[in-house]
Amino acid sequence: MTLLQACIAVLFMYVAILMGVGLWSARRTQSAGDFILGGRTIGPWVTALSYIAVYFSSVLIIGGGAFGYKFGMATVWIGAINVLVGCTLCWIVLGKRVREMTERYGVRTMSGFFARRFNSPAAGIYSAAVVFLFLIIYNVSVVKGMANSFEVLMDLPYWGGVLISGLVIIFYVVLGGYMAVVWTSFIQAWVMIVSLLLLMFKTFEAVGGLGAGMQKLAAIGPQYVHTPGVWGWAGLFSFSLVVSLGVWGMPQMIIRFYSIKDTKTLRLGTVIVTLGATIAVIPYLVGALTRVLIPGLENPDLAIPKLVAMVLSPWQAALLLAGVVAAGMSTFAGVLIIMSSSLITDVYEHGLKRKLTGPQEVFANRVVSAAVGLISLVIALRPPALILVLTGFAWAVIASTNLWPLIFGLYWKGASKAGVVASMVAGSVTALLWTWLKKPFGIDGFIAGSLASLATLLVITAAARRTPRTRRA
Amino acid sequence: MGPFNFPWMTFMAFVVTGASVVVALIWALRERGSDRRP
Repeated sequence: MTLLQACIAVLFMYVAILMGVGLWSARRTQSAGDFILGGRTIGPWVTALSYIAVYFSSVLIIGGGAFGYKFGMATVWIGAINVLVGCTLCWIVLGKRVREMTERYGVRTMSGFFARRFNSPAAGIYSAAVVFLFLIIYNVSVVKGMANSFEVLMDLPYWGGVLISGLVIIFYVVLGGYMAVVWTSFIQAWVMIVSLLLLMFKTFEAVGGLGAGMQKLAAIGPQYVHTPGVWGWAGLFSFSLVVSLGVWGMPQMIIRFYSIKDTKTLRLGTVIVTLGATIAVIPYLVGALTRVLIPGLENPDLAIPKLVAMVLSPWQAALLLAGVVAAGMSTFAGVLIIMSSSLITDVYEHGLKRKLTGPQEVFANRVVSAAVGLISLVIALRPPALILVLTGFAWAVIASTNLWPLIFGLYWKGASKAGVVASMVAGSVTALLWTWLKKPFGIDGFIAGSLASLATLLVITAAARRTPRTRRA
Repeated sequence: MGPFNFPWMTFMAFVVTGASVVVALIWALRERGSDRRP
């Protein structure tokens, strides 16, 4: 059997399973609460593994391998910090408080939480608008990543990859809502875990064992095995922080805590998410070892596809392609739910004060999910240059807008309404400008944006507290 | 050199990954204890 035939067979089965989950979930989705949060009944395994699937998009597998190849073994630190900061600490610090407070306020989205917690519709609408705009752009980059994987691994034309992956996702999200997203993400996480473990062991075998592989890599250049190696401390750790702490402000990740069943589920979920997330080091590890097997690659993005073709059988390679596509699909699907709930719940219902009945709300969410998904696909088919530029901004802008208002909203009663709105504006504008200016001093837009957001929140809150006292005096 | 010919500083990334699992376990056990307390 050829690679192409194996890929077609595996993808056919995979797509059939995903569509089946969509149909099954549709029967369990009766209200808007079901569509957006799965009725807050999701257990620890599904919540934890769907978190991993949404976190690690196809960018991790292909891009992480490219980083490993280009910068060497030091990049396993990125995976390690993803596990510690992006998963374990995120669940410990945010999980319980988000679950409790969103239930107390009766909100279903991050923007809704800001509006209720700070009694500020402006904060809710601003956050929803930033999330909506930049998640469309982020989605385009995710679809593009999936289509490129189809191109490289299956020789499928780019447009074919966009349509196959995109239409399947839209089908199951529109039918099954959040329930379909978490269950398909759960399946997708297992596909990613199994395929990455397989690739890791096959790579070890090909280089003569991990120890021998490290020796051969050191012989090519000691900078490829040492930390910080080729990249340097600043580059390595600022990037690690961006892709780990940034997650704390991304609504498609934090929604997992809203929907979790209870605190017992959260405890077990924290252990499961940490164990599952350890796969994050694999792409960097095997990407670095690829240099031993295929030295002198001009395009590091080809490191994983070339490695797959070299060390895996057609069936195994097909499984890895499914893993890469799974990573992208789960991210895209998670984002669609957030965008429809931002627009319907935060902007239409809370912002514009329009009432919808339960069935109307479900219908509206389905229509918006489908529309936003199709718009993302159309843009991804021929992305304008500006959109391609902005994909690099999306993560930084969204995370800089939401990170500090969320943390202060959960842990500090004193944050002022004006301080939160100003902090959101400062965070998003700084992240946007900083990235636009090509990251001065090598500092990422997220770091600059989140620092500006934090400083603004503290200064405006302090000023707001002093003003009444001065007046009283 | 550390295990598998990794320089120690690079190998520490795997130690941090393992330590994250330990942190998660300890936190979960402590939380279970505090949730049981009346």
